[in-house]
Amino acid sequence: MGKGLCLVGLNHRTAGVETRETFALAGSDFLENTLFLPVGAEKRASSPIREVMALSTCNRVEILAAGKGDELAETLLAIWAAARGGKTEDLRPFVYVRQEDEAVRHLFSVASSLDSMILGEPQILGQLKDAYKNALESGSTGTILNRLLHHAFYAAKRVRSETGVAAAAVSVSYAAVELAKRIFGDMSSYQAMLIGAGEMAELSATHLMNAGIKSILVANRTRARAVELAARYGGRDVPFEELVNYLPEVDIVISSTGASEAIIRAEDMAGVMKKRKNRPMFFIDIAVPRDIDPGVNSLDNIYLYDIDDLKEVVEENLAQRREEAVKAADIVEEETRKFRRWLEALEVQPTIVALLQHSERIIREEWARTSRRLELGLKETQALEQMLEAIVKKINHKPIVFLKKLAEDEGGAQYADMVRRLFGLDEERTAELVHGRHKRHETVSKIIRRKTGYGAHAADRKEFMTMRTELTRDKAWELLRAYNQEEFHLRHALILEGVMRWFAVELGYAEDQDFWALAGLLHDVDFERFPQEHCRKAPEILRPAGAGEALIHAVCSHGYGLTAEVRPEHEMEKVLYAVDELTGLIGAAALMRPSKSVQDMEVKSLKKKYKTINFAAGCSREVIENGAAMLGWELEVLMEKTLLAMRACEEAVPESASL
Amino acid sequence: MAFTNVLSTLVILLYALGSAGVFWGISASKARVRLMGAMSTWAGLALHTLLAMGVILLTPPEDLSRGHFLQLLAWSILLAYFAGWKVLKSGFISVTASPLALLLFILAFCKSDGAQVEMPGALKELFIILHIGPLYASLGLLALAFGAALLFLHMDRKLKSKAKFTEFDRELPALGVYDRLNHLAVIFGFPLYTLGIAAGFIWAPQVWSGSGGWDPKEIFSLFVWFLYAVTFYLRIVRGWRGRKAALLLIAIFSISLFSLLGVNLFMPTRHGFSAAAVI
Repeated sequence: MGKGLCLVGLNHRTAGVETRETFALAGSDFLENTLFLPVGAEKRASSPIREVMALSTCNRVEILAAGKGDELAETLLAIWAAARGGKTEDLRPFVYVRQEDEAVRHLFSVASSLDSMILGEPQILGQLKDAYKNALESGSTGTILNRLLHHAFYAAKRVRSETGVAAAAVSVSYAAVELAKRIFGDMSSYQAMLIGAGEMAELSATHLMNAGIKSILVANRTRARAVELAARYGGRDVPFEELVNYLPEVDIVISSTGASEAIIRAEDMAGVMKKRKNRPMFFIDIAVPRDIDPGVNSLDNIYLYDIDDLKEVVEENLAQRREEAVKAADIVEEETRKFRRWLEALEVQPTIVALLQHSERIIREEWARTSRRLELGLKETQALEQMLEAIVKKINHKPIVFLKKLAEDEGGAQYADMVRRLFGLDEERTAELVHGRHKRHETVSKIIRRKTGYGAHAADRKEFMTMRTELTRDKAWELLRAYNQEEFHLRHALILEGVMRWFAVELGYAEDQDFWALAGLLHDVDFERFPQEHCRKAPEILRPAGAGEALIHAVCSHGYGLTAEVRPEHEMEKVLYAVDELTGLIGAAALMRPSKSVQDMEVKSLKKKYKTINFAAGCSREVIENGAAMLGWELEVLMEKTLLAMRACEEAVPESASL
Repeated sequence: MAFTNVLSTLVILLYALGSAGVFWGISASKARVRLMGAMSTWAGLALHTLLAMGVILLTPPEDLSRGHFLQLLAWSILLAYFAGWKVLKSGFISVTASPLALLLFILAFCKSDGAQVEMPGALKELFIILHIGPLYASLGLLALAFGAALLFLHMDRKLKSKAKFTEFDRELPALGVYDRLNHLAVIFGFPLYTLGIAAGFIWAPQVWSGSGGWDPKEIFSLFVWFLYAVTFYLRIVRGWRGRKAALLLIAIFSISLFSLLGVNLFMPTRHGFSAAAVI
């Protein structure tokens, strides 16, 4: 089932200006009375729309909604058409409908101005913010749209700052000002002169003012117009006939008169340049026919751009923006993925699991703290632990039933989000490593130590080795299957079994290879069921099944420093600790290869992946390096051996389907 | 000596890290990497300065070798360059500073020994302060303005011809910046150069007992001085700017570079300490 995000809209590419006018949604009472109304409490049950907002500008209309079911798009279209006194069928040819990720991607592109008529223009983001503000005030947005819109603003900000999509000027007037900056740098000590008038020239003057130019002189054939413009820019007017006399004072000249021949000639400029001691000048000639003799450009320290030159600059800049848009699309894609992850977390089922884990964790921690002080026998311990489990279940029973019910008939996302925030479940989720190893659980290892008798007077090496296990391979596999359903976990266990066996032989422990393999097979036995108490639950699972203390010690020690303080002591334990994470990394790297296999993987390419911090980020490089250090091996040696081990056992690990 | 070698290696390392950081930072548009590159380069300069100070303060003047002078020259050029970086906050200088520093330092480092240099019998310290100091300082300024002049010509041509600006061009500072560097090199460099040359001619009879004929290097230096004086006049009094000023500066720097490096190769000279050792 989808999450129920839907976007319908039209823009300058899908609809002509007439259609856009017809179906524009300007005027907020439309939004409140027609579109937003179904969201109101009394209509909630009948409408598929849970949250909605609309953006309407002269170039586009976008209606974004979160809700339920397949009729969402149709409902939006119907309301939209009806509101403009039309029929859905009139609207349909011009409209695009985007669902789920597509809707998110489209919204992010719009916000980042990648969908705009002029790529990278900044207004659209402001318009979207206003539209969101309206929707927010009328109360039509909720958990999903609020998050989505904030994410859109964030994506737009990233695009703006990380790409050049909005960098270079794409209007003639602004391109002129950029060129001026390229010549003069800081503008605050320079003066400009505006000759004639006209929209583009005045726009350039305004941009110059904004860029901090010192002052502007205005010359116009009509003196009154000159006075008026001078007043507007806070400059002064100069007589048109004498403007050449003022040129030594000004550095930038914007000319846009209707004169039929040049008003500034090259031969005038020689004297002017002498008077101004060759300080550079920039002429912007927007007039057609041109006001300024093109020969001026060949004089030293004078730069002349006419309207065609400027248009060419704008063309180049637009081309550059289009190149940058490719980069921007990557950012949009990345953010879309991030948003999807958030949405997925809103599903009710994971929230229930997280809630249960949350309370279990608290109780475990308290229990650990208390039980340390009490001298309890095994029987009492078991009884108390049963009681704690019952408490967890009973306390959470009502909320879970409530969430499940909501999930069925109302789309429980809002409530899932609320529960997540109420109990801070997401904070826990991010604090966890990928294996659910929790740095906060250091006290746990102390219990293990007390219960198993390990730690304080750590196992004498000889004694340790003689503590054979009574567990057979078949029994171990049964045990593993009893606690693990996920293919991924079972495969990981089988891989480690093979890898550990290979290492046993490699390192001269051939007679112990079954024992090494068993430790590999069972090392994560408690992970799937008890991710929050990984390595703490293992002894309780393994001991009744007949596992020897050495095996238990080995299993516990692979979470050293993360979930347990049981230090890997035997070489086998160090190998297990070191290869656990590394096999994960290698496995992930293998999936990137065309062969999907480790057979043709080189240490070199593995090292590259290893150094890419974001690649399989869950596989802790720290643990791998600690492991190599414990063994006294170079990292490269560990990689090479593990790779060989995985190659050797790849065949033996069945494809997921056959598990 | 071993200690200075360790320090020198460290300087090379810092400059290399700086170059790598700055380039990687720009190409991957990672501002933090770029900043770290810049910081590493500045740390390199600090250490480099320490080394240079060590040479000046700890080595008795009569023990100064060619390598020492080369090191000092490299250092003073870098000092001017880095001062330009700091004052102008120019993206371009920040990009080129670390590779230039690396190159110059390694060049000087590879030639860190060599024949000792004849020094005047009396007032050696004063001689260094009045002759070598000002000359190196003006060379540093000239080098900086030379780079700026080349860039000025590049940008000037682009603006005149309305050529397309590349990514690299966009990083460059405004045209006015180069002209300001040119101005600085003229207004401060010329007096310094004058002082250095004058001191040279005052001390020369002491070393070589009577001025006894003209050394090619001295002729070149006088020629450079004359060109410098003309530039000074044209720039300050006549208001030459931009392209012509840039061309003049390129001429001055090229000739003084030739007098520094080239003369020793092609002509007999008693100024043996020059950088010809490098080539």
